Amino acid sequence: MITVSQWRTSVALVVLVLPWLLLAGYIGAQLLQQPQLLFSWLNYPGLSTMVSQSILIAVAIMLIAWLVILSVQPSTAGGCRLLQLIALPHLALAIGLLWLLAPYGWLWRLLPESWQLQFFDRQQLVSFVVILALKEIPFLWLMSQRALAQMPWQRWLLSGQSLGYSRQRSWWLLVMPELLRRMRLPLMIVVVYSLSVVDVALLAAPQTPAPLAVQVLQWQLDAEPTSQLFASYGAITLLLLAALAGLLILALEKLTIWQLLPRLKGTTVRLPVATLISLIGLLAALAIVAQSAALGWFYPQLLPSSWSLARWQQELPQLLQLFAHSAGLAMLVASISLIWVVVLLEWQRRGRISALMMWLLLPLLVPQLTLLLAWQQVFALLTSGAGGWHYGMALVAAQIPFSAAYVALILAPAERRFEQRYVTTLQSYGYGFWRSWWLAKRPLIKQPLLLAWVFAGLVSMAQYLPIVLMGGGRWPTLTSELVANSSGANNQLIAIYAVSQWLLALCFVVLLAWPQRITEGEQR
Amino acid sequence: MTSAYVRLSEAHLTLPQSQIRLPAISLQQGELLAVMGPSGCGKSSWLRWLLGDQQSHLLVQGSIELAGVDITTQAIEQRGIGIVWQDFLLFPHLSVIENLRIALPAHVRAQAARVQRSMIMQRLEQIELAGLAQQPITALSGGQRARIAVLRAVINQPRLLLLDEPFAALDSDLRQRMRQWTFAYLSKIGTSAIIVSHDRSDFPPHCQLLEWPKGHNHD
Repeated sequence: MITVSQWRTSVALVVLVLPWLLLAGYIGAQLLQQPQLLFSWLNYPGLSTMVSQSILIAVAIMLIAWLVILSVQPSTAGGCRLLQLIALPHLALAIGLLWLLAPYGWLWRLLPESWQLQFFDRQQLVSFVVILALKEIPFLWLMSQRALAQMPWQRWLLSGQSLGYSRQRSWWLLVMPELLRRMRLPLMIVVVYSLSVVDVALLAAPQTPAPLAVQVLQWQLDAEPTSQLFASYGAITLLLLAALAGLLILALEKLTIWQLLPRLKGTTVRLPVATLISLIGLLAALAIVAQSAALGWFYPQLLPSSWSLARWQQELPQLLQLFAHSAGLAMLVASISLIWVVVLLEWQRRGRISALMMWLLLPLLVPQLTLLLAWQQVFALLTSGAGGWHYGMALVAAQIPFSAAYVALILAPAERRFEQRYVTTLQSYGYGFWRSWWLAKRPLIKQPLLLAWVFAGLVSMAQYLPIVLMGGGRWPTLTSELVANSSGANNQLIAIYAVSQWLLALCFVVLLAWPQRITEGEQR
Repeated sequence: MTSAYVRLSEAHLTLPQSQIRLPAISLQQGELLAVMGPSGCGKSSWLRWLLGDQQSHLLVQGSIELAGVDITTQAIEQRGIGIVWQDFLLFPHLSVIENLRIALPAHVRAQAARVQRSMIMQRLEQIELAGLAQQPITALSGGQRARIAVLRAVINQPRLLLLDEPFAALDSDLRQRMRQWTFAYLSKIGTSAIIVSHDRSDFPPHCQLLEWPKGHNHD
């Protein structure tokens, strides 16, 4: 006889594992289908350049991220500023940075022409890597600070010093190895993202040929069956590259711990990372705001010849509709993701689900494009000729694993620290479990819950591939319209959409400033 | 056979390192059972099992009967068993009165706020802490917290109260005073209770005493 709780657990397990079963089925089916086409694909013109570009991007991001982690020092300042920068959607940031730093950009109009960075322009490999790095540094920095906060590093430094090592050498020998181990997952997330990102790549990366992920999407959107099979081969290649990146990260970590750290003696350069990155982000945001109201802003004018909000007014009805779509979708996805993860974490606490975190974080460790292509195939089989709301549901369902992964990442430490006996105490007074959770646990972990919800909303809002692949273009959002417009020549229109996307993100971040009467400090 | 209010069958406890056999225990209504044993021997885990909070590291084979009803498989919220934790675990986000209001029995919670407040204030006066009703928990001293923790557990009118080393967090002077106050208070309200401690002086002189049996290591 299956009890209700066993039934619920089984359903949860199926929902957790199903996306991966679909992925495995997809890979198997695509590899077995017309294997002779695999050779045609391998001879596709420019394929080796596409793959090498993707590898180069991933390796460059990995090395930059690794340097960022090595340069981390404990800091309490700057977290808030960096959080605001994380809120700046990567596409809006890319557009702002290109207008700021490109040879015709705003910054260079202030400086002598000879100082211009000729390599930093649209569709240049370097600019793409720099934009990705600038977007990921705040995430890595915040994750490092969070990892440090969970380590008794002060005591480790004291122990090292009591053994005769200098403070800095103790840092390298005792703290950094553990920090590197704890940053393995964020590093992997960043590298996998760089392999699979399409929207920023369409704007900033070379297009002839493009990085592999961009080409995979183009193949997929092509109605030709052979092209779609090529897309599958490309998606599977991305998966293999991600696995390879995982091995490389492990090798880099071991090499650093065994070979590099024991030889480091000097002190690190304390860069005001938070301030620098925040400043660049602020300038990029200012650049898109200025561009959105600029009329006739030609090189080398420092400011536009005139300002006008006429285009804003013209776009407003469309923008409001997209704003509502994007906000509604983000709130729905964030809320479902939050509830889903909270329920799963509670079930895990009761020992009903093992290795939960692995299942929840897996979507961040696998190229999003590969996963979405697998889900799209199944969705297409199940709903041929279905109405628009099917696409809406598929879109929400496809976004949840990615938002839920960030929710899990944020909630897991709070969950570990939480004293569950608070809930047990209320249960002993006659309240049911979830009522006890609501009365005791929710107020005490309100801040991480809110942060997780906001992050999940931001993740959903910035998603491009699910809109294109699962929503079938029937549920446009600010992000998808921004990508659609960004290939055009109207800079003001692009800026208007970028600013709108940023404003929506800010609306979510503002929620974090909600009065926090209960802090985690009080909880302890 | 006398009709015991609390009846615990002989129980086999399997802990990660050892196995323990507990004898059958009976308690009359209003009676106190003191369980003594060294720290880390599984007493607190056993207490949580009695409460209904199954710990993954403890497997218990045995049964609990309360007022003639087998409650072994009942959920925590259905058992009517209260607990006072070693660290009191008062809700830090609530004031003193809110900490007590949340613990009122369901039938009292269903009444008007005025009735609830009057009941709480009456109880607070009994323990001479009425003046602190609106204070946040963080403003209370250790002894005040201990008294509020005991009051919070008994205001729920549990059929059985569990006390998990309730004086361990207090300094010696306060510890002595809290012992006297707690046992006098429990005796006054007539609640059956089980107290566990590693310190014999934590127990009142005339109570049923159980020495925690030594465990057998796993082979």
